[in-house]
Amino acid sequence: MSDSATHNDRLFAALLLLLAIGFGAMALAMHVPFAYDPLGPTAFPLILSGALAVMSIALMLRPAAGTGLPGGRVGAQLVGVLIVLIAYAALFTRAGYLASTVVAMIVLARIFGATWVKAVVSGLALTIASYGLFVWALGIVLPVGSWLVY
Amino acid sequence: MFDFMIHGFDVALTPLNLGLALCGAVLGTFFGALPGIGPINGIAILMPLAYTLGLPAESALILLAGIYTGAEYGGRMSSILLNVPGDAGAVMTTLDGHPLAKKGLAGPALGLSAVASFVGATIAIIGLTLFAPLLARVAVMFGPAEFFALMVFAFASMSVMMGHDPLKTGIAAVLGVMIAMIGVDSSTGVLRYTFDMPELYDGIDFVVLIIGLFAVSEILLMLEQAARHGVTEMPAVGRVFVKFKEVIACRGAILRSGFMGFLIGTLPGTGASVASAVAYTTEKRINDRDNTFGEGDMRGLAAPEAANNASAVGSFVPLLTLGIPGSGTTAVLLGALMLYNITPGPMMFSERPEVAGGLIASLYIGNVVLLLLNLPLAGLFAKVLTIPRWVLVPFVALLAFVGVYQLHSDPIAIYTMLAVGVFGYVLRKFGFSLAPVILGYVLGGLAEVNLRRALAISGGSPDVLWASGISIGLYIAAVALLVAPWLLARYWRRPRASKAASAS
Repeated sequence: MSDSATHNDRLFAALLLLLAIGFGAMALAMHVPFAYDPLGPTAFPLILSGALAVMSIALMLRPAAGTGLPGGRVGAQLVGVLIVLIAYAALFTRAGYLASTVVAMIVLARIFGATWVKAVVSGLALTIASYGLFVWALGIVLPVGSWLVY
Repeated sequence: MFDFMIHGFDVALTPLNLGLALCGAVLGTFFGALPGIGPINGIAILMPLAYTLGLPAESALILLAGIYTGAEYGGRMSSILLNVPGDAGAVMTTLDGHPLAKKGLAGPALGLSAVASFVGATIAIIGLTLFAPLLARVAVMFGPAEFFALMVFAFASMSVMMGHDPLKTGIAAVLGVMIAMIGVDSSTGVLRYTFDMPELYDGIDFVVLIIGLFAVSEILLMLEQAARHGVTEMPAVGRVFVKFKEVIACRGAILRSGFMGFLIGTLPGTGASVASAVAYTTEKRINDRDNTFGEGDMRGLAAPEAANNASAVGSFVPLLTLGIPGSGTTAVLLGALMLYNITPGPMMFSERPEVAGGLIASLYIGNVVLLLLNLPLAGLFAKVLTIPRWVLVPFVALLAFVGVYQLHSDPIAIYTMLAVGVFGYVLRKFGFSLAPVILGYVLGGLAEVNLRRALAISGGSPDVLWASGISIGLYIAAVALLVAPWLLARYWRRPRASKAASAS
């Protein structure tokens, strides 16, 4: 266990403690006009907030193996994958299933180490095969794309 | 009292349902064998697609149960051939399975594990058939106070049994309960943790949560594994067979592990990982006279395989009788049941016998199908392991997107899934496991509802919580579980740590 690993764990535990405090504060701030049961909607969240606070302090005192987030090349790739997934989500209903999926599949394959040729071939194959499976075999309605249909 | 089983076989033996059991078994084995996917991801990804088929509830459940047991079968392939466990339950399989494969015995190892899995699962299915209706009769007497006590017991058993770090397991479970708090409080209409976003009024949907936590975080995690490991050399599989003599030599290990796996599986919150670890260490203690365990001993492979399949079936006991999932994977199955508006619980055996009976009957059938499928076709399934990540990852992403989209037809659900995925990824990177999060989400919501209901009935007096023998028994069991590991460590000297365990 390196020092940086325990340092990472302490940092994460501190974030969890902040979450616990925020969670509890939001529970206290809730406006409850009436409740049919003696506990009401805030008691259970307060218990959770307390439990998380105690456990995160315990973790700070006794940090264990946590590797933390990757940096360097993997970190950059991670950001790349997230951007692709968010863009895929944004384009999914707008550009339609076929167009958005082809692009997302090709870029993802590239990030995961495929050559351009392999990425384009597998991207096209996955898109067409999945479209056939979903639409014709399973009868799923996939977005045509709001940009394409008026 | 076994009328439901006759009814169940009537349901399961219709051509449609037989076909679905076969489909589920094949799909499950395929997804379980995919490197990095494993049983829980496989079910999470396939569940929404199964829903779109518009099948009746019992047929959909049969399909999903086939996928579930198939995935457990498929998960062992990467353990044996690549030394990469598909999920936590398969870790023990690598200890003797991979050394066997390296000795050139990959075929016999796969064959033996198929037979051991079959016997273990069969023991557990018989146990389920006998035990579940009995427990359902007891469970009918459960009121809100007893259910709350049961949740306390489940959380205790989860924190002791799941994962190697009880503190992190506990934190993960509490985070899961916190996620369950999001949305409109059903009894007062108060908005909790919605941040004034109408999309959050209904809370975070179970399917979105599962797919985000498991599939999306897996995609992000695979990036790193791809960079680190690169391509792994796969040993030749050869013909998959196992000599009768070898199975007989392992009979003690298989039978003991099958029983133990079933019992451990029935405990709420404990799954295949505990069962296979307990089975392996027990067999090692009984049989390891020549230090062959860890070097490729057949019994060291048979024991965890029998146990993890038995516990996979055993975790159906609390799911079907009490409505609480026994493991992360059955929590996902619970989500599938809820899609069909079926609330599993004690009444299911009397009110929906076609569902309870059909499911159990299909487990018998699926298990035979899997054995017949796996002996001749294991070599073919093993090819799945060589699928490169640049095909696998886009494929998983596509299934996750389509699955969530077609349940909600709403891009917001996809963004939520991605956010949950990043959250799950961060947790995994900091050494938390995700199964407690999903169990916390399910059990925590139930715990709150039952606690508040119990106190509403009693008018606020907390005495109602420990008024019945069942509740008191559950609290005592919970305390015993929490204290037991400490007592064991103190008074029962552990045998010297195994080479394989200390190396991992």
